[in-house]
Amino acid sequence: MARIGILIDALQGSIHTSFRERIASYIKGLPDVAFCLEEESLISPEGFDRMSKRLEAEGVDRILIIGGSPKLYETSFQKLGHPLPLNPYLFTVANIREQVLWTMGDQEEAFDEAKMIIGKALRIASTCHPIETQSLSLKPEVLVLGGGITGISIAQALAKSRVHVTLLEKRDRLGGRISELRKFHNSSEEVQQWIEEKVFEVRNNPNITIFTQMELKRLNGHLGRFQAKIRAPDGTETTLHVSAIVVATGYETQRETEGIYGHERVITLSEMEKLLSETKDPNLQWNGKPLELVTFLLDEVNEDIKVDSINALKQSLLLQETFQCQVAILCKDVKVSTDGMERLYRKAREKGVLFCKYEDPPRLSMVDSQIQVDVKDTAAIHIKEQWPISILSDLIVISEAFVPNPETERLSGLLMLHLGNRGFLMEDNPQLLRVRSNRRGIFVAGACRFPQEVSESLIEARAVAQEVISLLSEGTYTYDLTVAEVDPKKCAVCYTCPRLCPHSAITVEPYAERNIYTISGPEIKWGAAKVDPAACYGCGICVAECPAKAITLRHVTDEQIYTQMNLSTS
Amino acid sequence: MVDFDPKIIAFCCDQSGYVAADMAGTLKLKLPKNVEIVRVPCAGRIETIYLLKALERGADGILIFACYEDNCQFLRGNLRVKGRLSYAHRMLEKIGLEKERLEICHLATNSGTKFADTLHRKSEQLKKLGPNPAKT
Repeated sequence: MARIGILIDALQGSIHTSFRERIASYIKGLPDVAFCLEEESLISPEGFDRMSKRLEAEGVDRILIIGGSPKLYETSFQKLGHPLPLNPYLFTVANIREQVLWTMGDQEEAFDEAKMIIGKALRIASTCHPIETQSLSLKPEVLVLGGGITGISIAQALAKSRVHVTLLEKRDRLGGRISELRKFHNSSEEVQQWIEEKVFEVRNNPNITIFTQMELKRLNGHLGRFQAKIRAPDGTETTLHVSAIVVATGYETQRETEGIYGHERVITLSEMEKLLSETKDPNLQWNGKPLELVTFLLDEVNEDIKVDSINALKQSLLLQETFQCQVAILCKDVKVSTDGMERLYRKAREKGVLFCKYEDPPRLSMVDSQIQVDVKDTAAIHIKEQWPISILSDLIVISEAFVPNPETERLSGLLMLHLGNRGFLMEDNPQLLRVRSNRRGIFVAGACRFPQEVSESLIEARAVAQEVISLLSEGTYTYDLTVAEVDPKKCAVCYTCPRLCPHSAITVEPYAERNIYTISGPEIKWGAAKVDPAACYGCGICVAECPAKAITLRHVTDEQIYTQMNLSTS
Repeated sequence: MVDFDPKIIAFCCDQSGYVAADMAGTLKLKLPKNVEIVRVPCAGRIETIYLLKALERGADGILIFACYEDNCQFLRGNLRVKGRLSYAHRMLEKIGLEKERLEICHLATNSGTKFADTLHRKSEQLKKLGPNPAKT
């Protein structure tokens, strides 16, 4: 028989005195109740001390709190780590403040309802079980996939905190797509020199191992015990044992080449970047012909991405100032939501860059050896003032469409990560957990999530490094066993749960001693689904879906749910 | 129309529904009588058998309060339960029960008013439908 101690939250404003007294007198007549007390500061350390002493003195094995929302108390009981003589999962809360007092007008009705809720909570209290805590040791070993600017920065930051990093790059050199960039929009530093210094540092860091021309072939295991099999071009395979994985595989670009877009006088932003950095002569030339008027045509692709606006503004200023070219920028919107961009935009206007806002796609046509762009400027508010204009330019600069790296799709299958709607990797929560993936211990950063600017990637790299360090710094990962558990005897190996698990915490392993579906020999272990407790988030989707009812959720059992439903027969 | 207080089982996802229920309390919104709030870690935890057992054992109607689609903390839990709900609907149709007795409502943590309104609407609807004939 359970002995339940009851505490009534007497914090001012929670439950008024007369109601508390009525409840207390009702509770006295109930069975299984060891004591019933009013407590004013339930979630303060002093309150905890008083409570612990009373629990020990009375020898109770369950606690029921009558008060407000369980969410209030659970954080303090289960997460703050106050030493208590009882397992934190043996606490039950009867929420009579939110669910009764505040939602029932009539006192008598409220009292009846409160009695029912307390009765229900007492039944739940006697069905709950203690839940243990486990811990997992974590070695400071991290695998970073992708040797671009994000990967390099993460490796540097982690190595500084004495975490050993294995940097895996598919190509033969580090740096990735940053080789296309020559100038930053917000500093006068030379990009190539800056990246060379970074690569040099990474190469000479004893805490970083670099594998180039290698790719990930297989991944097994969960947080803390990942086994990554990597393969070199000659077919040799190595297995790495790492605690966490960071994916920073970057993006690819696709250029439109149909019709006039394939003409030699239509180039891309990255070709322009290269041209500008390589020309030392003040007279800019393209294919031997001097350039006087350059038109940037943006937003035909990548309409919601700001990288193109940044590059176009940066390049147009260089063209106007250094090479005395006239520049026109045609776009749907100038995206200035990056540090220093508003200033850059104003400067471009002052220097005489023409901006033109369009809605209908501009028409390009050849006139002699120049390209004519016909567009309707919609920047003016009144329709009468929106004039069609034609610009005869020597060079058209277009943007390339950003697409996810083809490797991303393969990796998402291999690592069991989720993809967003455009095929980029999806974070766990776009607002709160921006660099965590759906699997615990795997992080995503940089342009494999969405096309981004260098400064943004650097911020993400720091964020990932911080997350990884906070995960690994203690050397152990401690978790409550509020997880799903498979009964291997009942498992029919139907593969429903491994496919379904949103966090890929379930694998099928041969570990079952016995199975009701197969007759086993004495020394053979049968395959059955297995939930890794460190990777499970405890959502219960697999529990509800299992056709054989082989899975139970330890902290919310069927029994507890039926008790909560409070129905006539059991 | 029979005058009675229909028993409603409100399954509340811990991420949104339960917080919305608390919010309804904080806003001092009146809730209909005879509502049992069942707290589940994710709407995906709700099994089809719970829905049917609840109807068998005395509930007049069931409401599932889940997160908005695409907004599930566990990515697809609310979609799974939606699938199970339509399965349960088909079964109810076969045995001749009104499928209005089972419903899903998507809300966010701050939808206290929506929580209370949905319960009131359900309660009115069930009053019109009459007591659940499948009660044992």
